[in-house]
Amino acid sequence: MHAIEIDRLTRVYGSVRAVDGVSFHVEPGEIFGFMGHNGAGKTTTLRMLLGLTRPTSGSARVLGHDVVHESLEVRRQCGFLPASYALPAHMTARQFLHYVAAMFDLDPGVAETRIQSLLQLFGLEAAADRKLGGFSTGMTQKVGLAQALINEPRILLLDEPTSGLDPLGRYELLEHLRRLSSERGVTVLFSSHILSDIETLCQRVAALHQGKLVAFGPVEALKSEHRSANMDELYLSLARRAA
Amino acid sequence: MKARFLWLDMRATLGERKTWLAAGMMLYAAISMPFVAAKPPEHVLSALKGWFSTSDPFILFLFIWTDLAMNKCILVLGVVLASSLLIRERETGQLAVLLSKPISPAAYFLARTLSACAVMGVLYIGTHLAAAPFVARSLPGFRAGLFFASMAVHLFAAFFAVCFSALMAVLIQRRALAGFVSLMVLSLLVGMAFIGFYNPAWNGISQLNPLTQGISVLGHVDDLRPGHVLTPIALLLGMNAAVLALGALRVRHLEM
Repeated sequence: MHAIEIDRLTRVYGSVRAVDGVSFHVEPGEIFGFMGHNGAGKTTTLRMLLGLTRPTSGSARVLGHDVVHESLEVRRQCGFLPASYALPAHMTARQFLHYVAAMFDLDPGVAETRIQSLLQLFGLEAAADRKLGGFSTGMTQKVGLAQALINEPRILLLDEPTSGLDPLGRYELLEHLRRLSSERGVTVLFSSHILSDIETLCQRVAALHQGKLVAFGPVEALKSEHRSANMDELYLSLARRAA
Repeated sequence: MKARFLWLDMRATLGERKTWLAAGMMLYAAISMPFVAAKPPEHVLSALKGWFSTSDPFILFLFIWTDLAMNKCILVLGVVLASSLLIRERETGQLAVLLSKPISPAAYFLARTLSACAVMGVLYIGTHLAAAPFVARSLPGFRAGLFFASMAVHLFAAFFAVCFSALMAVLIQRRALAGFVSLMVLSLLVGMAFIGFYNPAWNGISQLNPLTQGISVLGHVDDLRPGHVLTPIALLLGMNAAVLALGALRVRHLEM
């Protein structure tokens, strides 16, 4: 069974086809790159996978669960970090993580243990009892990632997770993701327009352009097929061909 | 419904600045009202004597407390606590994080509204508990049973103010407009709450006003029975449930 299976997924807003008949699949335990320029349809696709946006047509399954009819079960097993978000400024990092844990019905004792280990993992122990309103972008992103991991998800959907991070924060985040995949077998759908991050992290990718899937497969095979030396060249070649 | 989530949400709301401002307003009412009631303006006194046919200072206080203080407080608090529900979270981007968890939008709306009701309850009951000893000492003929019976019924009208404001938030989906409409409608309901007292011809229709139900104990100050407390509470529970159901229905069809 594929971890994520998308079949002719389409979302139309008025006359705009935000996602247009997209099909691809993600294998369990892999870090899969989902690339495309801003507005290509990546975020809409991720939102449909979580059942937050209803597809106009097509279907998708996450760990075998239909994203429309079993969206709560999908969300129970997924962690999600949106591209653009804020955390409640009046809560501390610890309070917020407990708040999210309660949404998963986690036992308070289990939640406390997980929160402690996540705070440690992201180096947030010293800031755990400070209000989130005073956090820097990098620290907010770490809390964002911690909240996405609180339920020990089998699938992690990350939407532009490295934007806004400094080089060190970006490096640490990519390392965390590698560890999650290799040590815990977490499947990561890594959506980004920063192609170097995808090249660093992913073996296989899907590329969207104006809502349409323009490429899907192993990075090396795609580069060789399109005679591209790196991801930038590959994406430019794909985008030009699609235009 | 996730009970722990409800509890944590309530605790978080209690820690917000807006809640502290609301608490300050309630505290001001608790401290100032006994002074106002000790020497009420002449026109208020004569109107009250006309409606209640009594010069019992405690009854006069109860009217002033319920109408001039608590009715106004609950309409402002209802708007403050709930009129930006889900709108603020969506504007700031918090909703994208929160609704990616295994909780439906309708359940989230219900949990947040009930949590706001709980905060209203804490502030409202706290104010009464704080005011009671002060009033008992400064006002002759204080009747604790009547004071708290009136509080119990009016509390459910306070919950209505919260539920209604939350409904406006999800129907209108614009923070300022939702707050304004909630404030206007609730003000109108507060303003008409006593209409059945001074014009019995309006008594029947005014029973549909949740705020009239909320102050109904004042119509039974000399013959208060359990039914005078339980019936309006049951009616207000029904009204609140209907408003919550409408809100949940609306949220189900929203794409976040």
